[in-house]
Amino acid sequence: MSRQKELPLAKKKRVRPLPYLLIAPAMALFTMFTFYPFIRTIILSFALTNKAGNFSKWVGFANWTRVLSKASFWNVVGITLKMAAVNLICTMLVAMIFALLATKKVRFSKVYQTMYALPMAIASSPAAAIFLFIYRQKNGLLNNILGTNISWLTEKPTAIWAVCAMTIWMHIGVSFIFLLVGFRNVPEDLLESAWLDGAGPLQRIRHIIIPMASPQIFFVVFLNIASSFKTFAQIKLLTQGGPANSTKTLIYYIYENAIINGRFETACVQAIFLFLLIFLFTRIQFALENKVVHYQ
Amino acid sequence: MKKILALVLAAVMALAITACGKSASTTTTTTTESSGPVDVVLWTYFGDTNIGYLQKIADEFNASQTKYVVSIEFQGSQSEVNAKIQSTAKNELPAMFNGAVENVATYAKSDYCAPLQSYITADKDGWTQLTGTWDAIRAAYCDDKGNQVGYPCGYSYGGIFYNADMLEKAGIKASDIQSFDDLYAACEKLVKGGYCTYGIGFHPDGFYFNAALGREGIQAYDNGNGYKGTITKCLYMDDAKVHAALTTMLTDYQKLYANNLAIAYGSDYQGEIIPQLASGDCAMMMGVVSMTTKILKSVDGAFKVGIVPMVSATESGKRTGEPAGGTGTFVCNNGNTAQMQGAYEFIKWMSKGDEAAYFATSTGYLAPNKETYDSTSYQEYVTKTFPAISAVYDSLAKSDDSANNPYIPISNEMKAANKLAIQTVTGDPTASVEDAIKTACDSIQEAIELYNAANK
Amino acid sequence: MMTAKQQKKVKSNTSFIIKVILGIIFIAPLIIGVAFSIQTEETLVTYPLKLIAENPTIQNYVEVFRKVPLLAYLKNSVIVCACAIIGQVVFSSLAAYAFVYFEFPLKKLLFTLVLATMMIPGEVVVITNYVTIQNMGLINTYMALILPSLVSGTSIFLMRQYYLTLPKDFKEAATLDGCSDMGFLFRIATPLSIPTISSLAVYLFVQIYNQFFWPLLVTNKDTMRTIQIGISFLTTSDIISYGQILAGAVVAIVPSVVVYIFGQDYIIKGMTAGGVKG
Repeated sequence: MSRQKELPLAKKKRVRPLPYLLIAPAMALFTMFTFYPFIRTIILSFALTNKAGNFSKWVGFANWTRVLSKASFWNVVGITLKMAAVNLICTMLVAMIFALLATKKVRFSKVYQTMYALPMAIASSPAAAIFLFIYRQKNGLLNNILGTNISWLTEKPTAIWAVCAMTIWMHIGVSFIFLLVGFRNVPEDLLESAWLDGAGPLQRIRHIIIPMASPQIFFVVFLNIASSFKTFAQIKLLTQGGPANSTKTLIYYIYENAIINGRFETACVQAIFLFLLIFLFTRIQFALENKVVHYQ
Repeated sequence: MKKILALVLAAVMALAITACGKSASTTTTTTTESSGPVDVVLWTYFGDTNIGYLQKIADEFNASQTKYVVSIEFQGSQSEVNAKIQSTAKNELPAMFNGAVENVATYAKSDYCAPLQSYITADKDGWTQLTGTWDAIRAAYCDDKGNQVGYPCGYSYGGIFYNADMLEKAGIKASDIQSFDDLYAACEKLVKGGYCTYGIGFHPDGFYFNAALGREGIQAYDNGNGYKGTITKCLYMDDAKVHAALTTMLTDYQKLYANNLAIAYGSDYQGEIIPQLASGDCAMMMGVVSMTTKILKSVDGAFKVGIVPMVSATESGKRTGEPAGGTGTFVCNNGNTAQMQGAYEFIKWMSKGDEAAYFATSTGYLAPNKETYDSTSYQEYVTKTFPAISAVYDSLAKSDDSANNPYIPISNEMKAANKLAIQTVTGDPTASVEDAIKTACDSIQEAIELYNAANK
Repeated sequence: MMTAKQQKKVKSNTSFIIKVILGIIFIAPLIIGVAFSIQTEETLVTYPLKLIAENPTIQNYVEVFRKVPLLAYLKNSVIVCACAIIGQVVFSSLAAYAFVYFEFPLKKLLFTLVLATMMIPGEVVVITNYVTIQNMGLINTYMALILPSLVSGTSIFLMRQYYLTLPKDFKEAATLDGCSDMGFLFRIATPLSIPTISSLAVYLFVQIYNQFFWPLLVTNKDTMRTIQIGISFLTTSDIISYGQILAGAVVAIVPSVVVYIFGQDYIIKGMTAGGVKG
C-alpha cells in the first residue's frame, strides 16, 4: 500500500487523511497488479531469465546494449511510430468529423449517431474474423469488389495499411462518444450568439466548440496516443507481425519475446523502452495542456 | 468519512460475495489416496474436431478401468499453452499436456515435464507398442541421452501434396520431385504450360526449413545437432555444405516468387491454399500429413491426390532421414504420483493399434507404430481412402536417423528466424540470399548464446 | 421556386441522408459479418460473393452453439464485466474527486503514477500477475478474472477531466450551505457525472469483454471461461469454416452492441435532463 506518511508539524499545513483514503483502494490495486510487476520488469531487464521468466543471474546493462544495438529493434521502433502516427491522426480526424456532424440533435439523429460509434462495441476477435474474411485473397470480399487478386495481409506494401485500417475502424467509436459528450456540453447560447454575430459554421467550430470542449479533446488525444502505441490484438490476429516483420510493432515484439520465445529479459527491456516512448509523447502533450486546454 | 468507508466496505463485500459464491472448486493439491477414481487432465491446443477424436479414445480408456478418469481441456494455441505451463505453479499443473516434437529439448530440460523413461523402466507389463514404433519418430521424442521423454499423439510428416491428375497431364512424374530444384522445374512447367495459375502453395512455417536440411542429411548445428553435447553454434555460415544447401533452397524460393509461380507466402493454408488446390488453381501444396483429411474433404473426389515426401534442399541430398513433426503427449510433473501414473497409462493406451489407428485415420496423421499400421482400420485407410500415403511409408521403411531435428530449447526463435529468411527472399526478388542467411544465422546464434548464458 | 422554409427542409434532409449513408458505409464490416454468416460454406467459396444470400441458413449458428458453450461463456463475461465496471466507477470516482478537489502533498506525483499505469504495456505484467494470482490460490475463480480490472488509469483520468469541468463555485456554494466533502461527492458531483460515468461504463464493458489472454491464463475449466476464448477456439479449430467463424463473431458481438445501444440511450437521457450546462 502506498499510503503516504503525514507531514511533520513543522510544515504548518494541516494534512487531512481524507484524500489519501479516497485514493487508497485504487493505489492498492495498482501496486499489486501494475507497479509491482513493473518494478519486477525493470529489475529483470538487468538480468537473464530462465524459460519460466524467473531470475537467473545479473548482467547489468548487457541486455540493454544488446537490444538497443540491433538494427532490427530500431526497425520495429520505426514501424511502431509510423503506425502510431497514422492511427492517431486518422482516428482523431474521423472521430472529430463524426462528432461535429452528430452534435446537433435532430429527429432520428440517433440513427447515425449509433452507427458512428457502433464499431467500438466490437471486440477484436470477432472483428478480426470479419476482416480476415474481407482481406482473404481467394474469394475475399475486398478482392471481389475490386476485382483484384491481392493477398492483402501477406504482401509487404499492403499489410501495414490493412492492419491500420482495422485498428482505426475499431478506435474511432470510443473517441467519437467522448468527443460527442464534450461537444454537446458546449452551451447553446454561446453558439447562438456567435451565429447571430454572423460567424459561419467553421468559425463556430474553431472558436467556440473546440476551445470549450478542449478538456475532452485533450483526454481523447491522450487516450489515443496510449492506445496507438499499444494496439496489439489486430496485429496478433491478422498478420502476427508479418510479412517479413513489416507489421511488427514494439508491443507485438514484446509479446513475441515474453510469451512465444520465453526470452523474458529481452521483453522487459523492450517494455520499458515502450513505456518511456509513450511517456515522452504524453509529457509533450501535458506540457501543452495549459496552452491549449480551456477549463472553466 | 464514515460514509465513504461504509460504501467502500459495502462494495468490497458485494464483490467478494459474488466472487466467492460462484467460484469453481479449487484444485485439490493432494497426493493422498482419494476414494474415487483419479482425475487425469490433459491440456491441449487441438481444436474441437481433434479433441472430439481424443475424447472418444479417452472415453474408451475410462470405460476399460476404474482407477483413472481422463478429461481434456483446451488451453489456447501452441505458444499459449507453452507460456501458460511455464508459469504455472506445480500444484496447479495438469497430469499431461500436448507439445510439439520440435520442443522436446525444452520439455526435457524443464521442471514441469516428467520424462516417460522412468515410467517405462518401472513398467512390469512392458510397452510393446513402443518397440514397434518407427525409429525416426521414437528418437525424435528422446533426449540427448536416449531417454524417452514423450510419445507421439499425432505423428506428422512434411511432404508435398499434389493434384495427381494434373501432374500426369503435364507429363510430370511426381516421384521425380526430390529437391527444391526439381520443385522449381515442375512449377515452371505447370504454370507455363497453362495447367494452373500457381505451381505450389507453402504452409508458412519455419519447420520446413529444417525438414529440408534433414532430408539433405546435413546437420546445421554443432555437437551432432545437440545429441553429442550442448549446441553452441549455428553453422549456416561456417559449414560450406550447409551454406550451399541453404543458398540453393532460398534461391529456388526467390525464383518461384519472382516468376509468380507460387501462392503468396504467408497465406493461411486452410483459407487460401487448400481451396485453390481443390479448385485446380494450384497444383501442389507443401504441408504436413495432418492436413490430409482437410484436403481430401475439400477436393471431394474431384481428382486424385498424391503426396511425395519432403524434398531435400539440393539434388545431392541423401533423402534417407525422415524429419518428424507433429504433436506428442508428455507427462506433467505436478507432484501427484497417482495422476502422473494415470497419465502414463493413458499415453500407453493411446498408442494401442486400434486407438492410434482411429486418431490417425480420422485426421491424416501417420501411424506411429507397426501395430497401428497393421490394424484393420488403418489398412483400410491406406488402401481405400488415401493410397498415396504408401509413398511416405515406403520412405519411412528405408530411413535412417540422419534427419533428426536439432535438440535445442530455442525452437520457436529458430523457426521464426528461418521463416523470416524465407519471407525476405520471397517478398523481394532483389533481396540478397546471402544476407538473408546471415541474418538468420545471427539471430539464431544470439538466441543460442543467450539461452546458454541464462541456463548455465 | 421554393420558399426559404422549403429550402431549409431540403437542406436538412439531404444533410441527414448523407450522414446516414456515411454511417452505413462505416458499419459495413458489421453488415458483412451478419450477411455472410447466414450463407452456406459452398456459397462462401464460390466466386463471386453475393451480399444477399440466396439460401440463407442458420446452420452455422447451430454448429457454433454445439461446439462451444457460448451461453455459459457469455454469462461469465457479463458477470466479470459488471463487477469490474462497478468497481472501477466507485474507485475511480473517489480517486478523481481527491485529485480535483483537494490539495495534498505528493498529489502531483500520485497523479503521474496513475497516468503511468496507462502507459505500461500489459503483456509483460500479465505473467507476473498470473503468478501472483496463483499464490493467492485464486485460479479458476471470478475474483481472478475481476481483480486486475477493478481500477484503471483511464477511468481515473476521465473522471478527473470531468470534475474539472464543474465550475468551482458549485463546491464553494455547497460548502457554504454546510455540505461536507463526501456529501458533495455523493449528492452533487456524482449525479451530475452520470453521462460521463455511462460513457465510461460502455467503454469499460467493451475493454473487459475483449480480454483474451488473461482469462486464458487464470482459468482452466470450461465453466469459468469467457467469450473471447470461445471465439478463438473456433478460429484455431481444426477444420476452419468461415461461415461458422462469422456466426461465432456475430454471437460475440450482439451483447456488447446491445449494451452500447442502451448505454447510449442513458447518456442522452442524462444530457437532456439538464445534466451539465455551463
